[in-house]
Amino acid sequence: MKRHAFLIGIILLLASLLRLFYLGKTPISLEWDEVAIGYDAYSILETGRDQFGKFLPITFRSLDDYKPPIYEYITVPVVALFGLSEFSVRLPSAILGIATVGLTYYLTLLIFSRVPSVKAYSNFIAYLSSFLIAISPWHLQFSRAAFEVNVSVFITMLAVYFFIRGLIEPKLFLLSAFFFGLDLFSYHSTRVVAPLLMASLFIIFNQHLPVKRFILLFFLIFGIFFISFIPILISPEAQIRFKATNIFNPGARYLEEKDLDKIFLDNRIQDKNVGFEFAGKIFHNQRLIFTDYDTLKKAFSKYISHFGFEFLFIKGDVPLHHAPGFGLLYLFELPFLIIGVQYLLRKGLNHYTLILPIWLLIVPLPVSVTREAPHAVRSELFLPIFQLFTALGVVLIFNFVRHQSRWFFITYLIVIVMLLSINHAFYLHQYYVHTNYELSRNWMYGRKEAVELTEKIKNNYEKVLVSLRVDMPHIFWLFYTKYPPNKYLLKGGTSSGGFEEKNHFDKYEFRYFNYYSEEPNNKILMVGAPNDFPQDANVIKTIYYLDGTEALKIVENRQK
Amino acid sequence: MRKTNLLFVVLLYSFILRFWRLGQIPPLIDQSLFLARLTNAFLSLMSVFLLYYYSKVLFKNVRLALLSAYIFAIAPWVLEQGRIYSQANVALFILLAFLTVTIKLKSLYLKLFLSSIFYFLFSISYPQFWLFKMSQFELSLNNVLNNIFIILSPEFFFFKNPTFWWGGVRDFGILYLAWLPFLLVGLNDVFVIKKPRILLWIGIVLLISVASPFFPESREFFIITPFISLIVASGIYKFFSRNDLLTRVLFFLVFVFMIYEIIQYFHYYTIHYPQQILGNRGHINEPF
Repeated sequence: MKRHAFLIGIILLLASLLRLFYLGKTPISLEWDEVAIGYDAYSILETGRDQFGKFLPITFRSLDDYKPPIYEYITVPVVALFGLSEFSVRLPSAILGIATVGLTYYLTLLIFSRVPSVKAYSNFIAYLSSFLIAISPWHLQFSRAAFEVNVSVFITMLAVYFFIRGLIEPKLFLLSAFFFGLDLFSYHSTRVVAPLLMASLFIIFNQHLPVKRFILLFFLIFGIFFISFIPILISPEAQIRFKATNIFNPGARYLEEKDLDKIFLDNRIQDKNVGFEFAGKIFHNQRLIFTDYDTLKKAFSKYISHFGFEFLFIKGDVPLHHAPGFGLLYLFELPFLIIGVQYLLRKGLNHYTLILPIWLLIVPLPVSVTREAPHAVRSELFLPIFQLFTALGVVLIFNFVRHQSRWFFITYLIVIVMLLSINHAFYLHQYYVHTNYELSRNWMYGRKEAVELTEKIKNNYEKVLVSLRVDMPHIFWLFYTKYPPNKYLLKGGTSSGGFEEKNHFDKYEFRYFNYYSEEPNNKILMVGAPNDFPQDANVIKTIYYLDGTEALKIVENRQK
Repeated sequence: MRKTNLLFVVLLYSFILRFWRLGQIPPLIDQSLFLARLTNAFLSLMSVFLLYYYSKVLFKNVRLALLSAYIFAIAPWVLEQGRIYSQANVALFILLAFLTVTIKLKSLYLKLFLSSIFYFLFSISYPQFWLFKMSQFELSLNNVLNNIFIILSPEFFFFKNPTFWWGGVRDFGILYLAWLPFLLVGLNDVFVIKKPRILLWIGIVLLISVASPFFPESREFFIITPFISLIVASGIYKFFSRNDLLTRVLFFLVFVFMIYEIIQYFHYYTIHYPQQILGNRGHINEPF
C-alpha cells in the first residue's frame, strides 16, 4: 500500500509539475477562446449571466461558436478564488489533467487485471500508462491551456470507468450514467463519441449488465441529461455550426476547395456526352451527397488521417495544437504501441479490452465529416488509449528481455531510459523555449500589452477604436480590463460574437476604420494590425511578436 | 460449384474486364499500339492464372488461391494497367511466371539459372525500370524515408495514385477502400502463418520504388499488387471462416460497400476516364 501511494504520488507530482509550472506564461498569452471562457466565467460569477446577458446558459454563445458550458462553470470558482487571470482560466484544465493521470492508473488496472495473460503485470502496466499520460505531449498541450476537450477526456474516462466498475457494484453504474450525461455538455465531438461509447459498452457487456432496475435507472439519469440536450441539438445555432463545419455542405467550403456543384455539373455533362444521362443523375447529384463517392472518400481519408504517422508522431496538425517541431506522441512509443496493439488483438481480447480498439475507432468519427482533419483537439478523446497500448508493449518487451542474459537486459534498460529522456528533454525544450518564441502570433500575443497601454492613456482621448483585424478584440479588452460585467450588461452586453461591428463599452469601439477619414475633429486612439495604418501614421507604440514581427500598432489619429 | 469451374468463372470475368472495348477504353491515341495493348491484356489475364497457381502452392488452399486470383483480377490498378500498353504489367507477368516455376524447385543451381533468365527477360521487357535507365543515381536517406511514408500512406493505397502521371487513373488508389479491414486482418494473418516470402517481396519492391529518382511517378510499385492481393484475400478468407453473427454482419456491410465502390470505379473508368484522356492528349508523351 505504501509502495502504491509512493509510486502514484511520484507520478502525480510529475504530472502536476509539468502542468502547473509556468501555467499562464507558457504558452505566452491566452488565445481568443480562453479569454472568452474566462470573461464568461467572470460574468457568471458577478451577475449569474454570460456576456450576452443570458441567465445561467446551457450553451455559451461566446464567440458565436456556441460553446458547451462545463468549462465555463468550473472556471467560476477558480476565478472567485484567484481573480480573473491567465492562470485562473487555465487552472481547471490543468487540475483535471492531473486528475486524468491518476484516473488512467485505475482505468488501466481495471481493464488489464481482467486479461489473464497480463494480469500479473497489470499494476505495472497501470503505473506505466499513468506515467506516459503524465508526460504525454498531446495531453500536456491541452492541459496547459483552457481547452474544453481536456475536461471532456476526464469525464469520458470517468464514465467508462464507472460503467465497468458498475457491472459488479451497480451503484457505480448509475454514476456512469451521470458522467455519460454530463459528457454531452463538455465538448462538441463528445456529443457523438460519448453515446457511441456508451452503446458499445452496452453491446459488449450485454450478458453482464446489472439487474433491470439499475439499467432503467441508468437510462433515466442519462435521459434527463439527454432531454436537456435536445434543445441544443435542434437549435438553429447548432444547425449553423454543423453547416459551417461539415464537408457535405458545398456552401460552407473553404474558398480554395473546388465548387462541388460545378464538379457535379461537369460530371453530368460528361455522362450526357456518352449517352449516360440517367447514370449522371445518380452518380453526381447534390441531393445524394451522402452517397457521393468522392465526398465519402474525403470523409474516410479524414478518418484514417487520425492514425497517420506524421500526424501522431511528427508534426500534429495546426501550430496551436502542439509544440513546434514535435508531434502528439513520442517517437520512442511507436514500436511499443505496435507491439501492444498486436498483442491485444491477437492474444488479449476479451469483454474488457474490446472497448479499447472500439474507443480508438469511434473517436475520429465526428471529426471525419468536418473540414479540418486530422484535428488534435477534437481527437484528444483518443487519450489515454494510445498510452495504454504503449504501456502494454513496454511491459511485454520488458518481460521478454528479463529472461535474456543480464547484459542484454541492462542494455535494454539503458537504451529505453536514454531514448525516453532524450525524446522528453527535446519535447520540453521545444515546448518551453520555442512555443513562446515561434508561436506568439498563434497564441494572440500583444493584446494584453495593448490593453494595458490603452487603459493607461484612454482618458486623453475621446474614444479608442480597436480594429476587427485584431481578431475578436472586444473579448480581449473585456478580459484584460476586467470590465465589470454588471456595468457591461447594463449597456446591453455583447451584441455580436466578434464578426460584426456592434460591440463597444467604456471608451472602446470595436470596428473597422480608415485612418484618414476618422473624425478629424476629435482626438482618437486607434489600435489595429500593422496594415490598418499608413506609413505616415502617428504611431504611439508598436507591439512586436516574440519572433520580431509586428503584431499591433497603437496610433493617434490625424487632427485638423 | 466445383473449384475448377470457379477458376473458369474468375478467368472469364478477368477476360471480360480486360478485353471488353479494349480499343476504346481508354482511347487508343496511337492505333498501331492496339496489338501491344492486346498482348498486354492477355498477359494480365495470364497473371491472374499464375497468381492462382502460385498462391495454391504457397497456401496449400484452393479457396484462398481462387480468392487471391479474383482480388487481383478486379483490383483497380491491375485492371487499369492490364488494359493499356504497360511495361510494368509485362514485367509483373514475368515475375509471376518465375515465382510459379521456382516455388517447387529444390535445386539451388536450377534456381540460380532460372533467376538469370528471369533477370534477362525482366530487363528486356521493362527497359523503363529506373534501375536500368539510370547510369548513376544519388540515394538520399531523407528522401527514401519520406517516400516510404508517402507510399505506405492510406492516401496512396486508397485515395490517389500518382505513380503514372498522364494516362493513369489518378483519382483512385491502388486498392478499394472496402479492402482495408481485410488488408489489416490479412497482414496479421501473414505474420501468424509465417509466410515471410510475401513480406520479403513487398519489402524489395517497396525499397526499389521509394528509391526511384522519379518518385512519386514510380510505376515499379505496381509489381507489389499480387502480394497485396494475397494479403487481402487472406484477410477475407479469415473473416469469412469466422462463424459468429457480428463478423458476418460486418462482412456483409463491407461487401455491400465493396460492390458500391466497384460500381463507382467502373462508372468513372468507363465514362469519365476516357474523356479525361481525350481532353489531355497533349500531355501524354509515352506509348499508351
